[in-house]
Amino acid sequence: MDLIDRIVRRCQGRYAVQAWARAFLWALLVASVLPMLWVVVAKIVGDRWDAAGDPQWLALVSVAALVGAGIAALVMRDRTPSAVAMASVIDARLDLKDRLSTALAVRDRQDPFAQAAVQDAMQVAGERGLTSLWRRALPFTPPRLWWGGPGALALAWLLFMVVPAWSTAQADAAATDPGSQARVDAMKERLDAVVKTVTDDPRLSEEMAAEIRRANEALDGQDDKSLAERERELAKRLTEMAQKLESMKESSQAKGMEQTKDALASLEVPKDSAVAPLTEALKKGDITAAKEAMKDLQQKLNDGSMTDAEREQAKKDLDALAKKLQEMAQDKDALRKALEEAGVDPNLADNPEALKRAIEQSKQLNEAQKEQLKQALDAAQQMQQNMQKLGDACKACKNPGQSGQEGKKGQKGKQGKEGKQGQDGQQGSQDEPSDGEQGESGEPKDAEAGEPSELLDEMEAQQQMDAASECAGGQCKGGDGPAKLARSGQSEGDSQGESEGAGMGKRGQGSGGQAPREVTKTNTVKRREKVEKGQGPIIARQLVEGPAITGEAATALQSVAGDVSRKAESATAEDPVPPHLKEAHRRYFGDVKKQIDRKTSGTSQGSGSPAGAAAGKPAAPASGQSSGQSAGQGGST
Amino acid sequence: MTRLQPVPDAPTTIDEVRAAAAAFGQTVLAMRQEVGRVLVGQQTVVDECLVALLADGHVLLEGVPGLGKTLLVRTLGQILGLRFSRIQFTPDLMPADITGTQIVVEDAASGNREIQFRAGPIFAQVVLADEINRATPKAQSALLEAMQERSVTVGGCTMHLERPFFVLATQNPIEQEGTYPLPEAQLDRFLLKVRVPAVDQATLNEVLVRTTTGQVPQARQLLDAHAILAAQRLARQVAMAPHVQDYAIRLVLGTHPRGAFSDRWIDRWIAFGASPRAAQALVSCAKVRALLDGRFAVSCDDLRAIAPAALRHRVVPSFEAEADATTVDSIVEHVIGRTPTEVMP
Repeated sequence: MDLIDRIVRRCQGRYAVQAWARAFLWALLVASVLPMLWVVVAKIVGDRWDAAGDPQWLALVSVAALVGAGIAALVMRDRTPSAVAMASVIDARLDLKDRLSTALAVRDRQDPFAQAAVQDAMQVAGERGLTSLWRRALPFTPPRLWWGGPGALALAWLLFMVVPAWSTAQADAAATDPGSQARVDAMKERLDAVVKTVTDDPRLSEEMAAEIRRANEALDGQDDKSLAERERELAKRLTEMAQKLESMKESSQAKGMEQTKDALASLEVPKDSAVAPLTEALKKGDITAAKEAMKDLQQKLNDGSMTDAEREQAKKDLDALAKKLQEMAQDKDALRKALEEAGVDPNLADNPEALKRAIEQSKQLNEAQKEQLKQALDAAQQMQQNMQKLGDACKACKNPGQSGQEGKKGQKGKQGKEGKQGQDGQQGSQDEPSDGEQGESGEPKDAEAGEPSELLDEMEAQQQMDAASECAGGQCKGGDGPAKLARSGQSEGDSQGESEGAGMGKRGQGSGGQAPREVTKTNTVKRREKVEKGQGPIIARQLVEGPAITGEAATALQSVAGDVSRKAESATAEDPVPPHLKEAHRRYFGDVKKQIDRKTSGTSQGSGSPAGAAAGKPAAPASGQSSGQSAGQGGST
Repeated sequence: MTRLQPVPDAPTTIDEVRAAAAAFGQTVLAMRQEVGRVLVGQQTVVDECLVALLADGHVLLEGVPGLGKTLLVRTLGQILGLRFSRIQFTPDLMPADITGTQIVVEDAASGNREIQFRAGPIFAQVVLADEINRATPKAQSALLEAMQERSVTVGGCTMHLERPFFVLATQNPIEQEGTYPLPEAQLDRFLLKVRVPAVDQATLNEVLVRTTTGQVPQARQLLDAHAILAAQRLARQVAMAPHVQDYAIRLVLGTHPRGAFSDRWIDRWIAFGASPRAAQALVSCAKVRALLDGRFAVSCDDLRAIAPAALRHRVVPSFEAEADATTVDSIVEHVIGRTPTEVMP
């Protein structure tokens, strides 16, 4: 029986180990519920629960293992199988017909059959080599769900590491995203660049003072906010500035300047004429260059470098140019056409006040159309003013002496403050008697009439502001090339204007020449992708009767742009359009005119030549930033 | 006549036990072989009948006609050398036709009349109750006392039957018209209910060869009553460990609906579970099987092997089981399958 006892004891030991391991793993599985719950709660509560932020996984696993071991020990305390039960298991596993278990159970009996059974069991145990077979009877196999506990712990760890906290959802996801800091930095850099660009332009900075202040606040004082909040704030400021810049681009001054450029594009440049550079600059719409060319021409006319014949010819050309510009100023065909398209009497274009009233009282126009017409009217008026100024400037250039006289008249008031300043024969224009009157009163209202180039100061400032605005707008959208160009141009101008003049005028305040414009290399790569055209939803059908119209378009693109926008708007307003597509309609058709304008005017906005650094009048002031301030003819060079 | 040596029925030493067990095995082997000379195939049926005989129990054979049930019983009677009688159960069979009756006999010489008891066919040692379910319950009940008490009471006089007493009843499962199913009390008195399966092609071929070509072989007597009784006494001495006996008990209690060892299927399928006689039958037959296998102690395998025959007629299936077409055998298999041999903590 020793052999049987030994085998059974070994089996009992192995069974106990296995049972303990099984109980341990189950207990571990149960114990791992705690970390799982902890992780789930931590993910739900998020970073508001500080304890969730620093999991001690080693300690957790150790505690879970200890708890599991303890539970397993408790479970197994009274569960060690008896010798007979163990022997019964061996009998069943080795097909011993209950010999071992019966032998253990009846070995104390004295009846011969019991003794024979014991002897039979021992004999079988010896014959079958149970000392080695018992391992086969009770192989050490892992429990069925041995991976449950470790797996649950691993899952808890994985959940904690991978799954974002539920409470803060996307914001927290962005905050935990390693790329978030980079995004914030990039946005910060963009906003900073926009602010600098805007601040560099005085008029722009004045217009956008509130936006700049808020942007600076967003750039500086956000240390106590999370990354996500900082990112949101920066995006908000960028958007705000972009919207403001966009609205400024839509102003009547900007539109008027655009129309002025468009109109100037039709100028013809005379050959072998002294006014060719001026006409060329005007044709390009480069006011700064035109200003410099005008100074140059004026100097040539005054310094005697031209023969009398050349001077006379130049004056004639200037006179013709002035007349042409005056004609353009009176040209209201574009406005008339717009009015006609809108169903308003085109003759009202000659009477702005009446036109405004007619637009206000019109019943067939909706509010958007009215606003559009008003803007067109304002832009047309602005364009007329610009043309008028250009024409006046040309006249003033032709008659420098008159301009100088006017200037003298205008300087009287100023001299009281600033003393007499040296002026080399500059004369005011005779065409500007009102200026002289104002000048005598000491408050020259239109002081630029005294100097041809000064007449263009406001236009130049407007143009520069538009450029800065566009540049900043580009920066808001992510581009930075134009900004650099603009800054460099402005700094160039600043350096020109800051130097002390030799004459008697104030220190000139120059805004510099127009920054040379050129296409900046960007990261944008245009390429055509192969797109699979699927069966998308059909949102509208239109039946067109008659043969397809072929051939070349006979209507100018620009002339139909407004019509398209207007018709699209009325169609969108009148026809039923799914709500979710209304915005798409509005954007698409609302942008048509802008796109066309941009396309058609893009060619005329090409590279501006570096303005006026060339031979200019020695005493000519660097064009003042503000026309009012530059009444005195500062002698800066 | 070739007689086998009687099995020692009271061994006192291990060697004597071994010798007795060997002799027991040889005796049974010889009986199987002798039955096999007459009856082709049906080895399981023969073995279960021999087990029941050596366990001192009665057997209910169930099978379609022509499978050799009657031949088996007659052959066993010849081999055992016991007095054999056959009772053909019919609807008009009366209890007195089984047990016997008292008649008035007149002595021709003296002219005196006296009442004498004419013993019925039950007064034999091997009784074939053919088509037992054709008789009325009244006639069937005539067997109750004989089978359980091994005695017959007629006219207030109890007469003991000569041992060994062995009833082998047959019944036809497919002819239900005009039959009287045996009452549970009657069924419980059968130690085993043996199903006689249909024969296969080889067996049928052999049957034809033996029965249609020449003289039908006759079984020889191998034992006598004394040897059978000795073998029965020896079988009862086989050891049984407590945990094996516990298994037998769990098997029986496992047939009890809404009991400690039942499950929802048992509760659904069984109307009444097996009686304590089932446990007795299990243990008695398992002991015989262990001894036949050359072992001196009963194993759970023995109990499992004999459980279907010992339990199938003692389990009363419920209406749900019949509605589900669940047979008693499948229920018993279910019980066996769900009862573990070892009970681990």
